[in-house]
Amino acid sequence: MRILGISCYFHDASACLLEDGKLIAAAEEERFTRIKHDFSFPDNAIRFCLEQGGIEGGDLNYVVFFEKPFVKFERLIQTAVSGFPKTYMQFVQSMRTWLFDKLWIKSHIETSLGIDRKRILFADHHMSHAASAYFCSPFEKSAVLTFDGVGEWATATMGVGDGSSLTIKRELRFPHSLGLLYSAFTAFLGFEVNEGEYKVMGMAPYGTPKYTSRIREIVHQNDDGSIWMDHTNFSFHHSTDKSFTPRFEKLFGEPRDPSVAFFTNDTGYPAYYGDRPSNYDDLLEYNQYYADIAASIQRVTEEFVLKLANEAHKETGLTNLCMAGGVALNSVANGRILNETPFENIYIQPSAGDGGGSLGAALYAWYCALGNNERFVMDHAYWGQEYDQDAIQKAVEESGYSWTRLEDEAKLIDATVNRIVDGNVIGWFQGRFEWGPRALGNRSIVADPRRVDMKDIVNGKIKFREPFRPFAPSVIAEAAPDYFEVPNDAQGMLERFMLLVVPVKDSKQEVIPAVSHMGTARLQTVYKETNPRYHELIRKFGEATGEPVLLNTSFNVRGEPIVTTPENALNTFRNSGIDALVMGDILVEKT
Amino acid sequence: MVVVLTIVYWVFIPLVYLPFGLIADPLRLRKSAGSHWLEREEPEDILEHMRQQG
Repeated sequence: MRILGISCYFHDASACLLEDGKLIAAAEEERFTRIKHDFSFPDNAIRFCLEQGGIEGGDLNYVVFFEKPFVKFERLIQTAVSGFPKTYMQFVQSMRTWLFDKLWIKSHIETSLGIDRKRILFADHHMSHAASAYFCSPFEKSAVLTFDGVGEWATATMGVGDGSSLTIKRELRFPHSLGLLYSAFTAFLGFEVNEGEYKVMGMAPYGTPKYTSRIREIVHQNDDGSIWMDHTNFSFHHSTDKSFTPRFEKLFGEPRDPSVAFFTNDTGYPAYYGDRPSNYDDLLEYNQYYADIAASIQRVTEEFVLKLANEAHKETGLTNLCMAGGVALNSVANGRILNETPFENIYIQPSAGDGGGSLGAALYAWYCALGNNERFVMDHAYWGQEYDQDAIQKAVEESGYSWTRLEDEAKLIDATVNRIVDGNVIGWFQGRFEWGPRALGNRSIVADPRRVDMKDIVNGKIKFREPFRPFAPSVIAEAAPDYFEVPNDAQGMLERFMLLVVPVKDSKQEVIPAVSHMGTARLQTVYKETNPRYHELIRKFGEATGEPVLLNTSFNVRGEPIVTTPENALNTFRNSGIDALVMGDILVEKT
Repeated sequence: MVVVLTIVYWVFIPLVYLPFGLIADPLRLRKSAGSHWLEREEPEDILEHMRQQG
């Protein structure tokens, strides 16, 4: 039986294909269209999934959409009525897209895939999230928590998975939302909503959480974990372009000006920012305030999530926890759950945000609607498209760069390691691209983490990111406990997908300074069984240097999706300071 | 389209808003005591439920 899952029209459109309950392919649409967070109907991702399965649309048994459009539409109408007359612009904007596109999703699926309407199904948004985590997990029984901005009505849910059944017991509803709270502060701190949340998390360690009580004045959490937001401070439920009100600004001051370069005493002033401004000290003070705000909202979010997790444990009595939704990507909060609640194991699948909804919708249909039992465990993220050696070679030949084909893997790895040891920054393009927002060793930029200046080198040459944003380490799984305070959770699932921030061991902070972020790291553990070539690269780097750890950042430049094709990789190689590119067996150099 | 939606908004939404909007609180904007959780019931026939968009 073949089931296609689809998510779109909100954030991060995606598609996935299941065959007899096993995942065949999964990809976000942005990888193909090159539009970051593309939410349009995922024609390209669907085409890829069908090709990967060797089938056509008519061969599908079911197509499952990740949410219930009519319920969401009802919420928009009720919100428009409730917020009258402030909701005018929001009403006009949203109705235009709903009346022409979103309400016709069933017809769109029917015509684009040539499938009978009876075979088109709809899962609830948060059930799709819950299923995407639980049915990919290794757990036979687990508590399940989901939290994001908003689905149809729900913003957070609590449930339980048991064998092949999954039940949501309770939910919190819009506009009381942990995800939207974090996004409101993301906007206040001068970052783009649904894009800049990582930046807030990265900024937080440079501040002191001085303003938590002020945040708690406008967001209340009960002992049972449920939250209520005072919406005289927030405007996302009636405004098209602003998340907070003047009252919020009275409490927290003017929003941060995004055009002001961000730096603090702790981040230092990076060379790639140019000369120091004349008002350097004033800017230090200005930026420190916003770092303190970032630290405060991060701390409050962690505390809210901890209370929700404790409530889920109290309700289920279980020690396994599955989580999904955008808030589950808060890798600092995830670490605190493992350390500070009774949960011993956590599973979050790599595409925990709305992109993962397609997968959850398809899995929910397979297990809960169709009554199947045999479980599938997602222990790696390599479900995207692969390009064969001929396609890579053709792209490289057309690029005009000098290249060498090293079919002996040992030689390819040695050549790459030598260049990394010499301080080069390498584009690493192998196999199927990753599912989810993280580059996990198949579309990565890698470099030497031992050099204290490597963060600035990668930023200055390629990423042009703010100095407070960390670079992550990839470490071979067997060496991870030597470098990081890794938890004893079963199978280390969070670390596989770079979803956990842990302390770097005191003795190693000076050893791998480029990936230590104020003494912590969002690590990726690499297993020989799931990515043998990347594992071998890190292992060999360890042989050469004594440290089996690489700096790993996504293979893209700022503002672009991670590269998909060899042509994308060569384009990024051309337009950045990457020194060498390894694609399949081919080593490409600029000289 | 914008004109039609504008008319709908300023003519029809107030008709609903005036009788219900001032009394009802569908978004729970007014603070209430007790839990903010809402219990959820799962459908008996999940496949049939999944055939529906609402």
